[in-house]
Amino acid sequence: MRLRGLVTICVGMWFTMGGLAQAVSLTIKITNTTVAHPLRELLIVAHAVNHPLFVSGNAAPDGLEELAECGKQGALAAEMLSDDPKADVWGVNSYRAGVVSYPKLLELGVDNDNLVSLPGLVVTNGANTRLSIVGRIMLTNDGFAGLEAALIPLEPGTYTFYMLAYDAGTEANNELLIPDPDLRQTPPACVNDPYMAETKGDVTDDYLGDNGIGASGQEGSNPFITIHRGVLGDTTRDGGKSDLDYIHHRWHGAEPAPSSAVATVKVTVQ
Amino acid sequence: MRREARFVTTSTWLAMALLLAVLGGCGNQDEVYPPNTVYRVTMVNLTYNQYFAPVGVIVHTGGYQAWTLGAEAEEQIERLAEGGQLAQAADSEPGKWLLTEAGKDPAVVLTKVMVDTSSGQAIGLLGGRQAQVSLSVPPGQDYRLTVATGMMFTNDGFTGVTDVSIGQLGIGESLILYTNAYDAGTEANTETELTVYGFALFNEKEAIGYDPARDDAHDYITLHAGVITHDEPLGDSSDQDLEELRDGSGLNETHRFLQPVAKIIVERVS
Repeated sequence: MRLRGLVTICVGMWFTMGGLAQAVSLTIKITNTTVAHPLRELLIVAHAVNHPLFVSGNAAPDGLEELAECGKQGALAAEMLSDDPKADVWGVNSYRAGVVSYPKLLELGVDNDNLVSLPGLVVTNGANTRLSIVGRIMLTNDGFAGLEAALIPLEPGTYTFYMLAYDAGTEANNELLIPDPDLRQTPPACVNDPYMAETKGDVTDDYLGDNGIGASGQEGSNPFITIHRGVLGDTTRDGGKSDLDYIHHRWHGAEPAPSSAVATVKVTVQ
Repeated sequence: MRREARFVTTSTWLAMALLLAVLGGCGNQDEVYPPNTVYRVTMVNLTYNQYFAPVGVIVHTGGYQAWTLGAEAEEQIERLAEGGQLAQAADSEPGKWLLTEAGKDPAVVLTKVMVDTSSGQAIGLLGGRQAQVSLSVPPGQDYRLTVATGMMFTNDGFTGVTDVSIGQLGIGESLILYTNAYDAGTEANTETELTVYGFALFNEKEAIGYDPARDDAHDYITLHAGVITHDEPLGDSSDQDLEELRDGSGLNETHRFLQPVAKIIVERVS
């Protein structure tokens, strides 16, 4: 295949506005493929070409910063709907977001909890030809899983996409847990704390450590949304640079997914 | 790969006709008829801290391919990957450079270097940054595109696409490509300050860029496996070689990357 090696390809129109001929109903299944990073507060958006949910290479807007750093989708959902009231926005466990009341962890382990299945998502506006999904990658500073403006196929069938790990570019990746639950901030204040959004008690994970000195102090030189360079981690539970583990907390997508893939999305077009 | 929906409303056609009429009014009278096809190509560096050398862009028809995954790299790819070299300079020794060699190929229509959109100067790209180029070519050909740049905080890493069809794009349509990092297979990945050219560009070290010696694990192009940095936690690994590699690496954790490493946006403007 000539395009071998490319991750994804989509052809679009940014000038003339095409559109879906009629309302399309989607079933979306999202599987977390990481070993140790639950995804939370997934926000799923069908949108027009010129109203993206996020753009890699750009600076993250406030709502995305809050989602990536705090794991809260409300501000981003509101920003999206204010940018384009005709966007179809769904939060996991709360269809038609803006009213996001039942955030759910998408985590590995018990009872297939690494999979969410969302049937009957109806794309109501013909201009909403793109699908974007974001969710906080727990146990990172400002990492989010993202599907960036994938073209919604017109033919009925099931299609596979990959959510990649992005770095929002808004906080240094020190990989430190909130040392004391009392220090936990609620949005929007939580974007100002230097920690990941979790305490040790938030996630059942024997590989979490304490008292790290900080893996990286550098984020200022690149304030843009990039592909996440991955977790550094360290080899000690107590102390070391990071509160994360150098093997357990890494992710590495395998072919045909790119190495930054953290979730697989199956979209069924009815 | 497939097109956007073809359902274009009457009002859109009217708007297009109107716009074309307006544009037609301000055309250059000396312009040759039929007017050229114009593409605008943007490359976004999606890594956190891998510097991309100036980006070479080649428009061609079938029959040209800058590299082949799994095959031996030609000298021009070795120069690009190891030293960020695109074209022969006035004082260069004899040799082969990507754009210089492409210029001699009958299948190649145009070669250019990407520029900074505000200054118009050819630039390399820090992490998260982007550059652009405008390509004006005679209409009606089945054009393909090659975009390539060296990753300057690796020994012989490069990224881009080669031989991607763009002739199918209608006016106003765009194509988004995510690119992998490749290992040219031309230099061992020691990641030392003496062999990684980024240290000559940014840290005033005596780093050697292009070196005609071929001492990599195997002399063919592969996907890049990533870099070993001196921040790498090695755990209780008893692997002496790995430890030596870590201790000899001039890179730090910010230079790590996962795939994909860049986004390329191809828009057909006219």
